[in-house]
Amino acid sequence: MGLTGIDYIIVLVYLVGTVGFGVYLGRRIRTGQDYFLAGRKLPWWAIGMSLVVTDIGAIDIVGIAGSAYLYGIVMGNFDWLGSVPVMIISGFIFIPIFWRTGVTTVPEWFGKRYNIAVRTTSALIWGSFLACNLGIMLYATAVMLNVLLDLNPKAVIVSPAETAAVTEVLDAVAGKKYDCFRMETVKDTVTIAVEHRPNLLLMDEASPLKDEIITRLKDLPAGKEVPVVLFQMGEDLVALQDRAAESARPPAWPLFYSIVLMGVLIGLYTFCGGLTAVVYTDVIQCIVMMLGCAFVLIYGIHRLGGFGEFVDLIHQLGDRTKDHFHLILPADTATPYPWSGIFLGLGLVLANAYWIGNQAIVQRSLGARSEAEAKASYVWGAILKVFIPFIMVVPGIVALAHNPYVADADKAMATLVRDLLPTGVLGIFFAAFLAALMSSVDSCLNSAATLWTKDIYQRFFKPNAEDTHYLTVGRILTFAFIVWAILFAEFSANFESIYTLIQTLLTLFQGPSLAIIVLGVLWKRATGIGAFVGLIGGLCCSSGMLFINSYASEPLFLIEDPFLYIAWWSFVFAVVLTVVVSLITPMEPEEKLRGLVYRYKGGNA
Amino acid sequence: MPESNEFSPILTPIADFFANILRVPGGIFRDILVSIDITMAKGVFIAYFTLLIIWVLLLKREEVLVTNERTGKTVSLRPYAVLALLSQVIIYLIY
Repeated sequence: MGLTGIDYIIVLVYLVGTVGFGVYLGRRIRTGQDYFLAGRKLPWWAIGMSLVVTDIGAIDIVGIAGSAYLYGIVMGNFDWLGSVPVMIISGFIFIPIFWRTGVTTVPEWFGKRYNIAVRTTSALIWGSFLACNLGIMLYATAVMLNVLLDLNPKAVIVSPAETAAVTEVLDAVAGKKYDCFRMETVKDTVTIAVEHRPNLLLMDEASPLKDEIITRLKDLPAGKEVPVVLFQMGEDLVALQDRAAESARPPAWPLFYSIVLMGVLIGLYTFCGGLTAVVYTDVIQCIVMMLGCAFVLIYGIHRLGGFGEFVDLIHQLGDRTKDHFHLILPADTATPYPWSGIFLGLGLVLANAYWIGNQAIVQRSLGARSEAEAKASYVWGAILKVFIPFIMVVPGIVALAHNPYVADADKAMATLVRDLLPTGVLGIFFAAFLAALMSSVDSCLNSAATLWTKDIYQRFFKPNAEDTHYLTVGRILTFAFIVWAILFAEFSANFESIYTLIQTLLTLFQGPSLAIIVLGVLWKRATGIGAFVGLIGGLCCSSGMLFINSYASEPLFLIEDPFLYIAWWSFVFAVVLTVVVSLITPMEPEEKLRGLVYRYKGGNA
Repeated sequence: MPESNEFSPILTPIADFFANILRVPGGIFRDILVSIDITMAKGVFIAYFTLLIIWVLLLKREEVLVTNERTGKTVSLRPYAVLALLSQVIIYLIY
């Protein structure tokens, strides 16, 4: 089932409502502190909900359900082990310290605890990452929008039997730019041509159906023609790609339109309302998202005949689903989620780095009304996080029970909701999806502008200007970043490896970054020089491991995607290096450490 | 098991040099992890959550009490934090 008029109205009302609300909140912004920290007036409940929804982006909402479709409930680790404990730890140890020092950014705290070198290095790394990631997230959001609203161009390949060669042709010609279908009969081909009006039809010249299909397609009414490209098995794929590109009908709604649309909508309320708009729109987005996903879960299981039926259906799929209800998989599992990597890499490093050190996450708690509310926000977020896998991971498994034969797991969730939800409810669910998508992009945008304004512009170019000046700079940077993100998103659309590269870069510096935060807060002996050496050394360690894994005759890690292990070892290396160098360098003055180290009051206290 | 990497005449020998050194401790570490059975691994996860619950219970009163500056009402965050962590113990025991 596709979206109908009422669904589109619901989605439109949601979009206009969110943007209008964000712009309305922007009327109260007077100073830089209002813009970057919401005037430090945010309540705990709003921050907690914002934390949860910011964590769920375009990539997660599709990727987690898609991975749950393939691997099962093990994906729940990312929210349970990966969020709940660390949010409790952060809430009681790290966030109160950050809040008390009155900083706006995590690198600013590095400047107070360590030195300007650590602050600037961290700011440049995070600033560059956030700026690039913004484009990637916007691109992913636009891709999702197109998938959900069924706006992607479509390619059909006609082949009597599925072979590796046919799949290769379809991948090479259509790739991820098209929704692809393979047809085996004349009737199916004509039906799909009428119903979906594909932008391209690829047909094997040797196919016995060729003449009949071409004749039938010629009978289609004017305006419904389908461009047909004939190919021969084994022909040069690049040449075929060129021929297909020349013949294909341009998409009615190119991806770039979605990129611009989402960029303008998110940019508008973030530009006007800063962190206030980001957090309060996140609250709406959190409610819409949780209700929408919960409905899919409950209704999906109900349609299967109840929870028992659902579990039975999954078990009936045999070996493929034997671990689908196991959170802990063996260390030598064939999946990318062995328990060892999950515990060491995710539980002890990546999750901590994310919830403690990621500016896009931490910033909202720095805008809390009080230290107590900053603490409470993280504990509230942890409670909400307990429910997230039930409404985001389990639906991926429900999708498997409904349809075990979805070719692209990332489309499992979209397929489920399209097949399952009635008109009107479908609109609510799509609004929920959009909510999740927008909440991550707006946070990233606001944090990128904050970081570049506070840690680079204010620190190096104009340290003593009026606060209103930084408001202006923050807004200019927000505008500049959204333009940059739109252009970068369009650029990334042509280079899928950029996405992988950016995510890999994140893994490279999360471990070292966490190491110096943890040591800085928990160990008074950690010094600025030690932290700087640890940060740089940790980066070299993670980059080195990635290099060895990529170029050695045999990969270093016996796992397809070793990002969890790289994060763990770079963290360990950075900790060791920071400790060793700190011990041979003079301790920071006591006055400097007061209030910056956990339970440290200076002197003999 | 990942596929073998493509050969680069300059980079591959360098990467191989370091890989051969790292594979020794890496192999030992991996063998240790693989030898841990799933039940024990599950115990590691549950022990982690349990230790955190104990830590939360041992936190100083002033660290868990929050006062709403508007209403003046004081609330302890301890039971909520314990509740969140306890739910993890239950979930990991079940799955």
